[in-house]
Amino acid sequence: MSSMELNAGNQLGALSQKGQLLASVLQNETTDGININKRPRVGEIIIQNLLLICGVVSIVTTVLIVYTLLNQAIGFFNSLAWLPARTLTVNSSIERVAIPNPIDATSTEISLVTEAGELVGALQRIPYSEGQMIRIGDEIMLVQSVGRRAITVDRGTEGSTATNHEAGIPIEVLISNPIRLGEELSATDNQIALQTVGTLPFTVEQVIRIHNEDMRIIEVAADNTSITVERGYNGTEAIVQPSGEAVMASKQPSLTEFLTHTKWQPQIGEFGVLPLVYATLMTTIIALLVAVPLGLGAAVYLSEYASPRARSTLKPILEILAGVPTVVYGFFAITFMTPLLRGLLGADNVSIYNMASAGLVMGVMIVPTISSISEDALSAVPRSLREASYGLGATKLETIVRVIIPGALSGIIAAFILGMSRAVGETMIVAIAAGAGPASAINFLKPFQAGETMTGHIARISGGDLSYGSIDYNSIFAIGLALFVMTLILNLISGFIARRFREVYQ
Amino acid sequence: MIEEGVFHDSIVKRNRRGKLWSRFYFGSLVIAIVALITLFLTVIDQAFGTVALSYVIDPATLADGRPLDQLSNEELADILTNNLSAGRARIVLRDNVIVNYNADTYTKQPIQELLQGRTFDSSVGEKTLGTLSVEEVGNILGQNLSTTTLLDIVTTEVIQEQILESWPLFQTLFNYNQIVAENAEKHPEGQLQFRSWINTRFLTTPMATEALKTGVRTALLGSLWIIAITIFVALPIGIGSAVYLEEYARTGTRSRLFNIINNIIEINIRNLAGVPSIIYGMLGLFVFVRLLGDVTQGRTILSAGLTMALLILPVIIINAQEAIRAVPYSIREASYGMGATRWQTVSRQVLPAALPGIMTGTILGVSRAVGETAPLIVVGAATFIVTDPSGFFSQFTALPIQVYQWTSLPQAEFRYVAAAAIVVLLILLMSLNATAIILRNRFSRRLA
Repeated sequence: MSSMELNAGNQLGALSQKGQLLASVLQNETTDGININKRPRVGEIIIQNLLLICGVVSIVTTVLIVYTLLNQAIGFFNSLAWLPARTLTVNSSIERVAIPNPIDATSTEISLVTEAGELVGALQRIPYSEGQMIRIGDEIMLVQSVGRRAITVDRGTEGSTATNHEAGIPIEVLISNPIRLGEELSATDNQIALQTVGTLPFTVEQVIRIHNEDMRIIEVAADNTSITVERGYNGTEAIVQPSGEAVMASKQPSLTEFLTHTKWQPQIGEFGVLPLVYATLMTTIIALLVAVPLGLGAAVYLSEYASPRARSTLKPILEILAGVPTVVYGFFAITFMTPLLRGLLGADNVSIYNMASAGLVMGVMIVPTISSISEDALSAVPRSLREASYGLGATKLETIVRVIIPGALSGIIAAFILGMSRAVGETMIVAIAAGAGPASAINFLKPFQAGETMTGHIARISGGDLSYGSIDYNSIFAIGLALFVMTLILNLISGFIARRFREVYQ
Repeated sequence: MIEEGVFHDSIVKRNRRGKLWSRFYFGSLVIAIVALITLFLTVIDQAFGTVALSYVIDPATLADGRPLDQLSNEELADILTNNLSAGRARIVLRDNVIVNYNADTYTKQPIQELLQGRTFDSSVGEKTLGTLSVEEVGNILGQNLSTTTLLDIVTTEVIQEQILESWPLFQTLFNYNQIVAENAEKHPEGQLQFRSWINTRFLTTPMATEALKTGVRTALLGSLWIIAITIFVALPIGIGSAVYLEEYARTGTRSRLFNIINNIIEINIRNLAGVPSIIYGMLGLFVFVRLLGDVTQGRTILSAGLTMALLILPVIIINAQEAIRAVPYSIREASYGMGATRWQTVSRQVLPAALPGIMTGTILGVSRAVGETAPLIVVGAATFIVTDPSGFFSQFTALPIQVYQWTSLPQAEFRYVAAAAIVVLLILLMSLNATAIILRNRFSRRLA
């Protein structure tokens, strides 16, 4: 009995001890000095903040990207291209003829043959020669070559824009008259006599350059023979200038010109990004024409037809395509696709560097992007919907086309747009296979011709020895900004569609 | 009521259409895979093949029919002695043994001064370069140069191998007669030889202007340097971000400001993953090459590695986040239940469990960096360097850059060289990915 009592007493004692311990814990006082409610240790706080800093690095990256592109693109819009100043006058010794047929804004060939099959204006032969400038309406064109019945021209030169022209507008031949110093200029003289024909193309405030010396124009004389300038502008030194020295005029890119002009050659003052955008769109469209049916088809097959075993072998194989470096695709385009196209369509119709070859290979490259995201979307459509469709008597194809694909449409469209964004930003394939050179918008809709895309241009320009102050250097950042904005918008749309229009299944 | 015949007909038609389309679906997959196979075959086709070579001296006659690569140093030196003019031999000596010389005075300096630290017979020590005989030059070459270097000199100076034309592998395999006929017609002196464009020489020699002599050594080392810097920078930051986002940002109530920051980080990472790689190159050019030019010394390996690190950071973060998320929550709760703090839980339980997954993601990110070309072009890869990268501040080139440059060259032989470089690049990538797959398999086995 006593032992029992003792036991009970012990238990009671233990209980009360536990109760005390509990109470002391609740009161934040422990027997051995551990305080559970104590603030986290200093080390924990330091580590947490270090981790936060790691997380912030990605934000810093974005900020740096935007800062870089904006900063340098602004540099581009503030930089000046130096061109020989000149006036354009109409050459009246060549007879004016009217164009016999309407001219489309994109065509480079101007036919001078009337319906009767003779040269317009009873000409014996075409009176123009290569390298001449002609003006039709407001548009100035550069004659590239002269045939027996037609001429080929470079459209929209001298800052004019290529437009449609009605038949009957006269063709004027222009003469370019370089502007030179009329007499020797001392280091202090502000009045500059110029030797020129026609109206001076200068405005007040414009900066001109004569042999390394910059001058700001204060006044242009009404009789077009002289200007008043501020010598030694921009920190340059005012020097003695000999008679006959060429006058260089500055040209500054404007945002409007950047976005609307159809020629890109910053060194000679052509600042229209459109041709590069056109080539980018061209290769992207070709790539999507390949990748959308292939990617969607492969996704449907993998998600709906393939056995789990087939899927587990085929899918990784398909994903190898995504792991191949793009420079290898470029090699593939130039050594396999281009010769193939030239063999199929004739070497005369397909140039060595062409947008079609680059676009087709790029399409293959983005197939896995499209197929894997689409497949995820297709697999997310619940089994019950399929079974309901089969229960109504639909065949497998009808179930896929009418139930599953509509059910996964948001994911599929998001995949297409993501693929498009990858195609727009792809560089190496187009840099290797699509061609290079000063771009003009006329190559649009000619997929078998060379065309330089935005990325291809950036790669080519920065591949050479790029001097940091040059207009070329700044121009790639302006293009980069345009590219960044394009892909960002595409990515945001893709993400938005994927979230906003997602069918939510339990 | 639908008449049975009509219903039956329509079912047959619908099923036929279903079958047709199922073939289309399968067909698209097959086309994609065929494209992949064609791509690999194109590379292999170009990486091996037949070449028509011309020699000034036929290598078979040099050593009584013995293959040149089995000869000893002395025998190779003898070949040089027998076949080189004295003037040419002295130039070979100057370019290969002396290397660092003062262009104005070296012709007047005694040999013992020029060859300081090298082995040479004491009898020639007082002579100048101009008075050395061919035999003496041959001896010095044989004593100081490795067998491979001597073999190279024999090939370039004596044999003077030159490629007349080259043909790809499949033509060699299936249409060799045509090659023979073509060769006989175009280059009667051309000797046909099977050539693997990828060989040990190709791997161990730096770039050269001739297709036969060029190699990827500099580019391969450059790529490895860039990978090392990329991993060193991107791995800790990437894992740190992922741990923060998964373990710290998600749980626990915090001020609204923190929640906003966390959301911005998440959205931002997703968007960064979609930024074209060439834009990262421009970021690298402006920030690392120009703004931080004093630290990075301009267009160096360091600039390239940092640019690549930023490029693959989103990939690493997203993959690491997934790996961390895959660690069962019960493990964390058990750890907290034992009284561990959050960092103790993360560092001793979560990270070890997620590590294989994180490594897999990192390797995938790194293999992306290995194949990227565009950012390196913009950051400023050197167009022609022959010296191995020696540190953070060396000029660099990388494998994909070499592929791009060789592909862009007009000479046909360089297409084959580019293919060989692609094979090296693909092998590097494959070994990286194989590691990733092995890690992933281990990981999934352990969780099961």
